[in-house]
Amino acid sequence: MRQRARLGMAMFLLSEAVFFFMLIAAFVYFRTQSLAAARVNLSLGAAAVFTACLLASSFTMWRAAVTGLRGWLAGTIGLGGVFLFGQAREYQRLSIADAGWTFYTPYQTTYSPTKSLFGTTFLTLTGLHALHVLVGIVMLAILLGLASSRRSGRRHTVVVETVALYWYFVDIVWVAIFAIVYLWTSL
Amino acid sequence: MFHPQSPEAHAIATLFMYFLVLAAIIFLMVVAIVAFSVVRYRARPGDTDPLPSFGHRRLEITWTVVPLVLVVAIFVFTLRTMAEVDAPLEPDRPPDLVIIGHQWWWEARYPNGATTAREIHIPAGRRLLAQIESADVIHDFWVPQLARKMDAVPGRIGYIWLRSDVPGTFAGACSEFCGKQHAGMRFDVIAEPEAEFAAWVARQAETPAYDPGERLFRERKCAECHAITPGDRRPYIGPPLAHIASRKFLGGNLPNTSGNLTLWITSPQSILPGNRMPDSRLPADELQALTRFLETRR
Amino acid sequence: MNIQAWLSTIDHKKIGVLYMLTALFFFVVGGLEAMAMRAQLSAPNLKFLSPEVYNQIFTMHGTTMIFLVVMPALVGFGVYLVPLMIGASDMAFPRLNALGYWLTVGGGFLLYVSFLAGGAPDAGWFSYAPLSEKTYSPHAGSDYWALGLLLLSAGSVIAAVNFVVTIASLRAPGMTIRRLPLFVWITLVNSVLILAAMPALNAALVMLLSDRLLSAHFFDPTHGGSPILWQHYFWIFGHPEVYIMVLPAFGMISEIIPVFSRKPIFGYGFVAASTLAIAFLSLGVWVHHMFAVALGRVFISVFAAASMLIAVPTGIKIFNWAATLVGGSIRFTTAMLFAVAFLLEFTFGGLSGLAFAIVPIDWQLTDTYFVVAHLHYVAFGGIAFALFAGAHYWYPKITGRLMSESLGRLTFWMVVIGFNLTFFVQHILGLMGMPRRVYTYPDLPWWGALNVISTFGAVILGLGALVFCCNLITSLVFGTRAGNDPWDAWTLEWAAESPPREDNFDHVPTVRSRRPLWDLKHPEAPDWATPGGG
Repeated sequence: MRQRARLGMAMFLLSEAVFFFMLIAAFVYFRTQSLAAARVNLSLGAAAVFTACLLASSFTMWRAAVTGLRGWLAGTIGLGGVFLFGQAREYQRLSIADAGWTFYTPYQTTYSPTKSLFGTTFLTLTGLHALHVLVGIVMLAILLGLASSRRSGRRHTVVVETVALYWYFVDIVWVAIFAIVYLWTSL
Repeated sequence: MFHPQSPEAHAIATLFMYFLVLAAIIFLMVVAIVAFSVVRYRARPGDTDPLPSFGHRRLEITWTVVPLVLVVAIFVFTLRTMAEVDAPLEPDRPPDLVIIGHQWWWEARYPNGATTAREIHIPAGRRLLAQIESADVIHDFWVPQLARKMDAVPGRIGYIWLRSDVPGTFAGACSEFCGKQHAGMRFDVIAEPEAEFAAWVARQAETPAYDPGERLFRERKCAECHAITPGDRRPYIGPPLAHIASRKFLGGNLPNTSGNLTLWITSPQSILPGNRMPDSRLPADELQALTRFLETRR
Repeated sequence: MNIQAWLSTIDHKKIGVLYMLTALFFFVVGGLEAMAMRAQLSAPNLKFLSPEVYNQIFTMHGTTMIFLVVMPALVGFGVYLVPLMIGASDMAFPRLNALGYWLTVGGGFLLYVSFLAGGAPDAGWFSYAPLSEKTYSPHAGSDYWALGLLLLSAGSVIAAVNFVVTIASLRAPGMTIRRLPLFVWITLVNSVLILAAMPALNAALVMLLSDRLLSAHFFDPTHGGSPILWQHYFWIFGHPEVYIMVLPAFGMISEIIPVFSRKPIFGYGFVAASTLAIAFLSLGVWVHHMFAVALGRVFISVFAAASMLIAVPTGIKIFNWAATLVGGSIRFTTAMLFAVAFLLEFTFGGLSGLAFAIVPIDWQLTDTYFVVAHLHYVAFGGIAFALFAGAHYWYPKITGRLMSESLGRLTFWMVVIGFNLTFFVQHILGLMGMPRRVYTYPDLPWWGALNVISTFGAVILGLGALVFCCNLITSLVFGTRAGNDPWDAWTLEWAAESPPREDNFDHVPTVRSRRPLWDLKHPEAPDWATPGGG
């Protein structure tokens, strides 16, 4: 059972890895055209702090999987939440800087194009990553709820371990994004 | 592709013939094995299962290596023909001709300022460097008897050699799906002797004499979508009409006759449904004047 | 027949049947779309369909046949057969299995509901940007297309994950990786290929939707975006997809030809290994769909070489199937007729495909009717013929009754004749210069005549398909009872009852070779005691 769940998750993550590879490749494809906008709009310092939070959450996730303690689970959720907060702040700042998407509802007649290619690639890539973090937090919250209702058993451990795999993966993807989108840009 | 009229098209057709012969041999070989088995090894009443045989290493190696050798040979021929027929990716001289795909018509621009649509004249026997572009979506410029096809991708420029050894008219078509009237994006390449071509391209750059119909052409808003002055190369939606009367066809494959011209002015949607020109209702006298005006634009 | 039980089922056999019925339903829909197109093209300058409608119909025909017919049909056979063939009682994740199916239904629904919501997608099945962008396709069709495909693709990924885990962890004792039935082996390789290729489509679709709904500029050249990027992303998925569809068909043929030749597959190891080679190479050939774009010559040459190389492992398979026939004792059931026809039609389609790897020929023939002819020789003559063969072969296992052989033979001849009439002449039309995806064409010499032949063939083909559908239904009632093993076959599914009970087996035979049931029936000469057979 444990083997099967882990293998299944690993296979799913394989496809997710290709998915993010394609999105990162799109960012790199347009990199030279969007470099100027990226340099103006990104703040490496703030991003580094939130990146540290996400990395720390991998540690708490690992402890949660090993010990099965609820506290570690809650800590992971908290750190993930802080990371999402950081992302939200970034998007807000970008929309003020007018470099991001202008969101408009489908089929609205007035066409309001984005100001830059940078907004296109940056928001699609980090937005989809943030969506993955959000899904992870929802899964962890469900696990926390189940653990609190004291129905945990061996099955529960398997599920926590499997979700942990997902969480590590999402963190690793962020490391790649951070390196390519933030570090490489600031060089 | 069956009757190539340029060295480039000829080289491709020859390569295709080699390919056809090779493919036919391989196919007939498989057919022979299957047909032989079907006849020889058909189950007969009372047959028991034959002794199992699980494979044969030497046979396997044979039918791996032989195709591999064939593939290498085909690849060499491919590279040779590519080098022979293809224009350079970044040529070191300006193009002789710029061809632009629009939804849903082809525009051709010559260095002397002449601009035309649908019918592209070239001098027979001379190799032209044609630059292929697009004004909107992806199109594909294709004259099967003369040259390779080239995608017209917005924001990207491609070059082909365009030539015909003999005078004649060669049909072309858009070969990349580009929306409603993809089918209507047909055109002709007209190869004519050098002198005739020179005369044609010079005349296309001249302004025809003034005609009172021209005022009507502007007042009835025809001029918003069509260039009427030779050399006017602003991005119009419709084809240039400065020398419309010198073309054999209107949009699609509609012969350029007086009746058809009138029909096109009033109800283009019945001819090429979905094209960018709206149907119109003009008083009979204005329609007649407009038609007459356009007919003098040779 | 309890409908609620079917809707809520997590039994792999029921889900498999649901997949197949869904595929059959959309096969009829896609077939009717094809008929409408052939009617419009039966003579030059016809006005039976407007260009708007024609463009919607050819887009939906392609999308339907690929994503709603071939994919669900192949996944359906896989979901039904894989657990039985490896001696398991179900897939590894039965609920996930059901989810995959219902996502497929959802995707199909989204695609077709677009007809009611302002018009179906009409930018072709590969939806080239910028035509598919908001500026040129303002109505919602392309949004439905992208969303529908996202669901279908998610369904495929789920099925692939499930196949890998099932095959990795639920095999009967003794069934080593080298003793897997070829259909299972190929499903395994294919699933990994799905996991590698489908995400490229998802990424492309997400980017297209961002462009269309959130005014991003990935593919919009007026804001610095790149139409070529869409082509790369789509074909990084699109070309492997061709093999994703054809590999399971290879798997079926590799089961059917041996059984009716009464010989084990010739060169099991080479057939299996060539599958790996095809899957691997298929990820590196996508640019041959873009040779008509002005790209660097060296770049193009590399992809041309890779595309040609794929012919080698494909050839290995064809020769091994043919060698399986040689020396056999061939029984011409309908299933076998289709399998042999597959061998020839697919060889033909494979060879005409080689033309597009030869770059200069591609520069003439790409996006013409020659492509249409080629792809149908592969997709219909290859994949669909294998599906017909598979349907006749496994129908008795699924329903407990044999399909009528006389109706089967009628189907076979109508389909073979109709198919070749329809598509052979299209090669010639392409060579004469007829572009694909045109709703009408001028009255040029021979064009009308060849097109009317093609339409005539399509009618025969359509009627043949109708006979097949009748056979499926009538045999359910009038078919001869099949028994567990009507074909005297060798893989484990034939050891189960027909139809198999809920948990599949009451006793899984010992597996000591690739043909466990042969060993059981021939204790005097089991495979595991024969050199090369274990």
